[in-house]
Amino acid sequence: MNPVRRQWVVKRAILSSALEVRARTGKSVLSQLNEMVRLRLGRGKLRAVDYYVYGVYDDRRFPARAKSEVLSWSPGDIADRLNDPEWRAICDDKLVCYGVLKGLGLPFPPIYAVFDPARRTFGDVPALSTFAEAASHLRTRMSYPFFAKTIAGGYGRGASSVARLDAERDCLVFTTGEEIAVDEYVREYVAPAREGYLFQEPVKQHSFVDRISGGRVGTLRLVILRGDEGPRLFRAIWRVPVGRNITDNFLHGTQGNLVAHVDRETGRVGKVIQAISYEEGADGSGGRRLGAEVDVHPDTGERIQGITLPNWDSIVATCLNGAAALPGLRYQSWDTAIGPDGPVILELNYRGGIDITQIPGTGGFFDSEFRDFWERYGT
Amino acid sequence: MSATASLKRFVAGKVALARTMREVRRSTGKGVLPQVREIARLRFGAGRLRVSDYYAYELFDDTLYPGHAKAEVVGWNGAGISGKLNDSHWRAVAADKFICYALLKGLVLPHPATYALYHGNGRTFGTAPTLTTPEGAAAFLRERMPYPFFAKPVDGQHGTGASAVAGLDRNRDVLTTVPGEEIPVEDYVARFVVPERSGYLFQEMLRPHAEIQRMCGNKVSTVRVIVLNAGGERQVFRALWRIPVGNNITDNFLHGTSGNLMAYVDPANGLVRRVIRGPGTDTMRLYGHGRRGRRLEFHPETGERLEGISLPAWQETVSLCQRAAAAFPGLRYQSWDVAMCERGPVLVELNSSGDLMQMPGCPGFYDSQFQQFVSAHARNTW
Repeated sequence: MNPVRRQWVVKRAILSSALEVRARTGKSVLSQLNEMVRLRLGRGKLRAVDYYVYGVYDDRRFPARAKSEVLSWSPGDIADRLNDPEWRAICDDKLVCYGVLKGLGLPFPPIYAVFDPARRTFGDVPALSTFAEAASHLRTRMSYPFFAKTIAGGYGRGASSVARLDAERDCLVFTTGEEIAVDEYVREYVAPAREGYLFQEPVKQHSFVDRISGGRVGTLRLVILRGDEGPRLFRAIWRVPVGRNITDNFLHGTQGNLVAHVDRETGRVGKVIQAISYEEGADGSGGRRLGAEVDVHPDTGERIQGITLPNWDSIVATCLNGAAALPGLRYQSWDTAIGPDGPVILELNYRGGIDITQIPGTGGFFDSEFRDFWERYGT
Repeated sequence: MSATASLKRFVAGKVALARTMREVRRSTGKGVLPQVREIARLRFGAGRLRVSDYYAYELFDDTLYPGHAKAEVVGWNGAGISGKLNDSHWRAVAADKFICYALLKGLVLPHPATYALYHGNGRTFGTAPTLTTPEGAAAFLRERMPYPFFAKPVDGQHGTGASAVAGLDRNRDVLTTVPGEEIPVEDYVARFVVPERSGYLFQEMLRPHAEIQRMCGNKVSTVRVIVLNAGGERQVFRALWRIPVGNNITDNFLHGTSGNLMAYVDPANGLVRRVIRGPGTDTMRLYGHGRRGRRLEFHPETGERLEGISLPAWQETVSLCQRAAAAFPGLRYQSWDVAMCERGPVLVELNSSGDLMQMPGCPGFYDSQFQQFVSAHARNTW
């Protein structure tokens, strides 16, 4: 969508939301506007669209003080103030991250091979540096199935999930069932990754979770605050893919995936939201961007809300142990799958987004706990 | 410093400079005016050489530095080069010793085993024990520590705060350091361990390669291998061997103040071309001259020849550094410290802004190879 049209859609959506809120709650458009201006100029710098996305207009969900705890900050606003930028490669570069995890004895999906035109290596795994080497490896030595992604990318861009090789037809079969010629796969996915591409073992999920998601791999986002007294879990979110999505990225609600609030003490899943994009909203409403609340997985029909995630204590303990090893990163966002025996760590984020942690009705990011931490380390 | 003291220092410096110029004129026949002209040219050249560097590197000597070679010696420091070539987001990967060791372990590259970590705020390092209180550290030293061990601050540099402990006398509750000093366990914890806010790391004491031991005694020495890493190539650009002497437990040269030896090694074959000894902390009578060390051919304690020998397992060392460098693409300028051990080369540290370690009578840093590299790969304007 071009920027002008996008702006128009957003403005129309805001107006439509304001009218809808007035009809539903009785709060006049002027009162909403007044509140929006106050919150925009407040600490959270809340934008109009976020006012509706997070349901901040709702005085029952958000009593006066709670409204000001919702943030519109960019991930950089938090990370750049709390984290040491010299530690950033440990998060942004997946091979550095996996190397450190391996050295610390933390679980992650084994690496099968690395592609990098500059002949980068990762221990003793095969290092591929040319188109021909990559294609040949896929035909003769690769373990199948595999998951692959860019070494330095984010948001699941450029990721691929391959089920098998059809040697006779010289093509790869994706886990979604689509086929692609080996050379074309290298040309479309592998070679364009300027900072390299890595191939790894697909995550094996806990059977309980697998049943709920229909085999789609979801990940937990654990936001950990690493103070001088040690790390503590601040927020826990579970993201679950739907349909044919191969990653669970929420992308501010444009993928249709689910995002669920998880109780950090017990691992019990609370409110679950399904993403709807601007374009997909029934009335084009930006106020519906984070979508509707659901309690079952839309593909499997299995109940999600109210379940308790398996291996919760072990997952939290493992990630806290890892977080304790990284004192230069005070604000850490760990992405981990739920494996049969505990966590399978997929990524550590330097600038983890906060939108997915502010599920409507579950409280803002800037609560008293975070405010204390921010005042201590963020200034 | 008071104004009078500053003035005295300034005058003393100028007197030393005049004395040095006369001394150089006497020993080489090069007049004071040609020296001044040369100093001015080098000061305003690419190397931005200071006056004291001119004498420290013996650039006045036209036999050591013919023609263009003088202009290749530089007055820059490693941080400046790192800032131009390396991605600053990768700095902790080298500077934080635990991150570096975790990565080396993960990449299956040889490095010293970690025995324990002291960190007041409970930092962890895999399954290694974390000690968080002075009492806990003392108890660990008494009951569980393997001896001998080497220990150093997590973010320390230049060997500052390092300790080497040979053993524990349980009956007397004292540790014996490698130089032979005895120190009660609690005093050791208070003096070395607790003051390090970034944490203190206890690790395996490496044993030197038999050939190194024969030449230099029972002390581990490291080679600083500078690797230029970009475009799919890992060029071993410089290699310098540092040899501890006397009671020094680390081999840091510290611009000559440690009194240790430093040797220029031919990266192509591991041949030791030239050896110097730092002057230590002696006050220099001459302006900069001798500050970077004076040449010697034999080890001052063992009497063994050093100049002209070949370092053991050299190709293995080079190949290890190239292999390791390939895993750190964000660092185009890497300085690896590699210990030559009985079990082969061992990676002791990675520096992203390591000292250039230029030596009198040896090639300067800004040679054609380095110039080509920066013109192709510098991230920022050179």
